[in-house]
Amino acid sequence: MRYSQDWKSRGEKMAELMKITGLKKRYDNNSGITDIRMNISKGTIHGFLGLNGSGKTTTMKIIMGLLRKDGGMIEYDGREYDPANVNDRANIGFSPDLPFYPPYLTGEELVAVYGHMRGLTKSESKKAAQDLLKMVELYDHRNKKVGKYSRGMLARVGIAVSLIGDPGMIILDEPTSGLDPAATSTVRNLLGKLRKDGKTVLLSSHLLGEVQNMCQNITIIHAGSTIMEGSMNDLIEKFSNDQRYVAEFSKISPTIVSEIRKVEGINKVQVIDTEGRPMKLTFYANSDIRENVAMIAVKNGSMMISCTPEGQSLEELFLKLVGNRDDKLP
Amino acid sequence: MRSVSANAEKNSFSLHRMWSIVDYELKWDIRKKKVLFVTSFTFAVIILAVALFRSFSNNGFYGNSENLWSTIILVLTKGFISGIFPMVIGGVIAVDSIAWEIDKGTILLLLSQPVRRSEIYFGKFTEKLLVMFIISLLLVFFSVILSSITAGYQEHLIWIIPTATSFLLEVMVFISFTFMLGALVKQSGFMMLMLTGIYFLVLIGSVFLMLKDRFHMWMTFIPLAGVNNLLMSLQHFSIEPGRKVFLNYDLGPTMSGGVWVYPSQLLIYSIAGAMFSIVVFTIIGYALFSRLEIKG
Repeated sequence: MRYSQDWKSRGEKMAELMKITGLKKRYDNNSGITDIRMNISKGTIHGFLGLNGSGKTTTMKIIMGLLRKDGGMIEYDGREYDPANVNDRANIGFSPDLPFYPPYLTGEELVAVYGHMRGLTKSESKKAAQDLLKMVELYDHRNKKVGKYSRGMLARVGIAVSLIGDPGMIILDEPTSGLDPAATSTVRNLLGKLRKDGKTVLLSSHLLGEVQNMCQNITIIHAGSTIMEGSMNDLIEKFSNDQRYVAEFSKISPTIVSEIRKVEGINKVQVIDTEGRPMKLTFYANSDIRENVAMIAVKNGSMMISCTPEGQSLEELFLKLVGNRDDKLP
Repeated sequence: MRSVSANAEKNSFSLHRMWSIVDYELKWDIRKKKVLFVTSFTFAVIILAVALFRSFSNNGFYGNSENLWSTIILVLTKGFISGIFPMVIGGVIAVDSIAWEIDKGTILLLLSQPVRRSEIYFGKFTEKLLVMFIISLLLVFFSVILSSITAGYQEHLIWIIPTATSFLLEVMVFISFTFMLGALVKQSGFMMLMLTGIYFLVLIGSVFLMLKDRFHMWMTFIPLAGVNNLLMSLQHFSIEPGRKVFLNYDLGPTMSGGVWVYPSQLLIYSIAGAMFSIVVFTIIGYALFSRLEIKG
């Protein structure tokens, strides 16, 4: 199944900062990306999802000039973006997925040297580095060598590095990968700060719950191509054909269950035992059938206490889209 | 869509950005104590050089040996000594710059910065040049002190300047070679071993050439092996009476009564040979580096 390629979010329209169309990169072993499309809006956190090997890192490396594209176009703020052009690249900050930082430098030196490369004077970059280290809560460790940083500290210093020089957009590749819950929470708070500050962030992550909480928009790629893109809420709503409901009754009899199963549009009815008594049902429905269910209960001497729709998670959507696909990677 | 030409104009080589790479590289070298190691190692060279200079001065240049075999032995001993130290120093100080960064992945963040590849490559090279220049100045300073201590006050100290110059040039040959090798093999694990192996292979090859066809001036252009002549030719120039190096246009080596007579212009050849090696290695190295892609 290939989802509509020109599907557009019905959500709030925001100014577009980066637009990627038909991005291609072919490696020697014939793997790579074949058609990546993405629209990143200004001031949003944009989730970038895909299975391992689907082409996320390749896409990000092309944007950062680490790989040369074989085709397609990248636009930034309305004009063509050339990753080989240092002035274009100055608009983007980057934090790679693994702690690839010079281990012999201290945290402050690390952030400051990249600030210096981004055109700041030495004193400006030192001041900016200190401010950023305060923001990522590493100021007290600024004189410690990066090689002695924990994985969580490296993730935070990576965010500081990506922010030095105040680029228009930052790319974070798996910032929470391999972090313990406490470190993940710290990074999540940092992302919250960035969101609050109106930073434009392209966030690649395997933690779909995090992406769902943090990102306004997402792009899902599979086997080197974009398969879906849009605002988070609209995508979940649009692509969730069946709504999951949880209904609680005063009592549940086999007749009630049987009759509910017969209602057109209801499927996957499951009885949940509460302290040995069947009190709740869960089912999926493709329309609002709560009234029908309530009537069945009353007809059979019971009463429906509540029946609430449950929101579909990004994880369910993602797995629905790519989890069972058997496409071979290109 | 707006034109990109205005932006492209700003994409030119920037000294500020190159200097930021020099700063980055210098921090690495200082933090990794490379500068300390190289300085210490240079002291060892000075001590050895001071010990050797007397024999250089007494025996003259190796070309004045009585026969071909003794010439070859001298080439292998003094030539080796004058080449092995710059190789170790050049290799050690340069191995991190390209090979280690690619190998360990730190190049990823560096190349993603808004800095041109040329600014990165030549910034790194410039930092090595500056560090080695300062170390060469130390070489001059401490050579005078040490030689005065060991051999008493010497009137003719002019040999120190060409010695330091040749040391700097020789090290830069090996640095440019190590940069090139790093961009080619992209891993630092066996870099020193590889560098040493290639150096010896070239050296042995040049000795075979000499055995076969005797010494010719073009041999000073043999990459790596040619640098061995540099130190001695500079010393020779500094102690040779008359110093006709810039006047003698007879570029061929001659035999006179069974004795090799090396014209002073060996100096020019040696300097040109070293410069040639640096330029060739740098062009190839940069060509490889500028096309480097970070996969995976």
